Amino acid sequence: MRAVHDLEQAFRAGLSELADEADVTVPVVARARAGARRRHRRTAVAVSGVAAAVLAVAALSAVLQGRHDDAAGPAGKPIPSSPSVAPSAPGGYRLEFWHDVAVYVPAMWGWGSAPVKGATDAVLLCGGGQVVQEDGSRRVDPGQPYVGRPVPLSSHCDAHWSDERPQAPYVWLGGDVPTGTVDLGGGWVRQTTRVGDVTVSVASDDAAQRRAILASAHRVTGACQPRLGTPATAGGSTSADFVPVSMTVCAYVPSRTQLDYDLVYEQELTMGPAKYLVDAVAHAKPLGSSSCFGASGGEWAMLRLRGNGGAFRDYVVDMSCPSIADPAGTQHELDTETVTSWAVGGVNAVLHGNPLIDTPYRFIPPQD
Amino acid sequence: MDDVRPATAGAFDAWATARVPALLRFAYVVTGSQAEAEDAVQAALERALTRWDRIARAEDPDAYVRRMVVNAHVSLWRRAARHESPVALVTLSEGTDPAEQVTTAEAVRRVCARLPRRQRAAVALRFYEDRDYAEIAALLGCSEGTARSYVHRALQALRRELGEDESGA
Repeated sequence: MRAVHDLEQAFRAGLSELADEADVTVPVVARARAGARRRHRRTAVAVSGVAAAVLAVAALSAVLQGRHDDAAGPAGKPIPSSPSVAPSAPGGYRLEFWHDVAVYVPAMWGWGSAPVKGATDAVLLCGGGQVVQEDGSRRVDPGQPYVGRPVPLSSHCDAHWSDERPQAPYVWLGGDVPTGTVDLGGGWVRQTTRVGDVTVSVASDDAAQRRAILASAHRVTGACQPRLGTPATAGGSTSADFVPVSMTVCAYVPSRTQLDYDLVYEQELTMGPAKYLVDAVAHAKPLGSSSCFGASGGEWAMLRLRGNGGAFRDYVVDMSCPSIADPAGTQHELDTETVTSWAVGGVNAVLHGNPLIDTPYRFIPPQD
Repeated sequence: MDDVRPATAGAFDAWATARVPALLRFAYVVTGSQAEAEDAVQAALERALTRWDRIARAEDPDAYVRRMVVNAHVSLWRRAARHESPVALVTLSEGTDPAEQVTTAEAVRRVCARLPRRQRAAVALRFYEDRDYAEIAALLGCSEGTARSYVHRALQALRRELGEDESGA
């Protein structure tokens, strides 16, 4: 039997031989330059579009800004509990965002996936039946209502979702779903409309519920930018006296073109989770100086904390190089303490971490 | 209009031109595919270019870009994974004539093709890059013990691929 040393040498020789097969003459530097220029132009266009949207929906934005005040909850909770996770709307509804569109859904619904066009242009529903719960756990439960986004929850995909009769109502935000009405049989109907560039689909056997949810869909200027060319950087108040009163979670993933980042989730949290995060980051272990420099190409999230008198503090979470950056530029270890207050609810349906890298247990990798 | 200043662009070009061959070879070892290696390196360089001022001041810009190569590869894979069946990779050695002489290099190639991506990255960092376990752990964001475990299991897999009984029989 070979010694371990011989096996190690075999790996070294084999991998060296493999590496020599690579064509290293390809002009990737020039391609990267061209790509960076495209990214820059797209960012400029996106920023001007956002500015126009701000003007167009200023009145509605003011209404939505008011929800931050309504969301203020009790401070000093050891670990934020469900009532502090998402502000409830009157009548037991909560507000769900996708890009620049918001819709009210029943507060007790979970979070899931929606159909999305794949690499071969086929539209697939990946991870149908899986529903993320309020505590971030995931359950296979076709009987639970949910709001789905076009982010796969699994590599198991279904191409025949269009005519399937559900066991529970759902809302799909931003799915690659044609507009119109589909009779799913047994009294179930899926109705899809378009608000701006975003599709909103509602399937239910209750016509009144369908109408109510669809009628609530509206364009908004939320707290998070719908698309960014580069990841945000941490910033804002570094004062030890900063006291947050609310927190907005903005979660992003690389777009289909890989040239920029799409907002996939936005969530308002109350004072309790915000204060918990400030304390957790302050006590989190700093990372080495050269391990991360901000979000590095994969999933990331910006956590914007608001204080009194216009003060704010932005933390940036890099899921690919697990870290959380504070406004002073220090990156800390992303551990259970630094994710537990904000990795709640639907953010667990859109951020998975990196299969090559350990991430805290609150983020559940896509299931094979 | 470019999005970096000329001085920054010049420094980036000088660094990238010198490092690209090594990055492409590394990416090829990690991905096992020329197209994926090119995509991963290109995506990493794009991102590095936009923040080169900051990266260039680091102790080891290579480490950062290497991490981005790995991340870009994972990101590209995730997007394609909806249609990609890993089964094609794990059946490479099936059907091989048992009497066929298997070279060690071929065995390494087959083992790498079967390794989970995380483990393959650890093997590439250990045996191609000659990184120590602390560096591998830092790059993969795992504990040093986990990094050792990945490499140990890969060695066991290679031993099995070479037809050797792990018990020594």
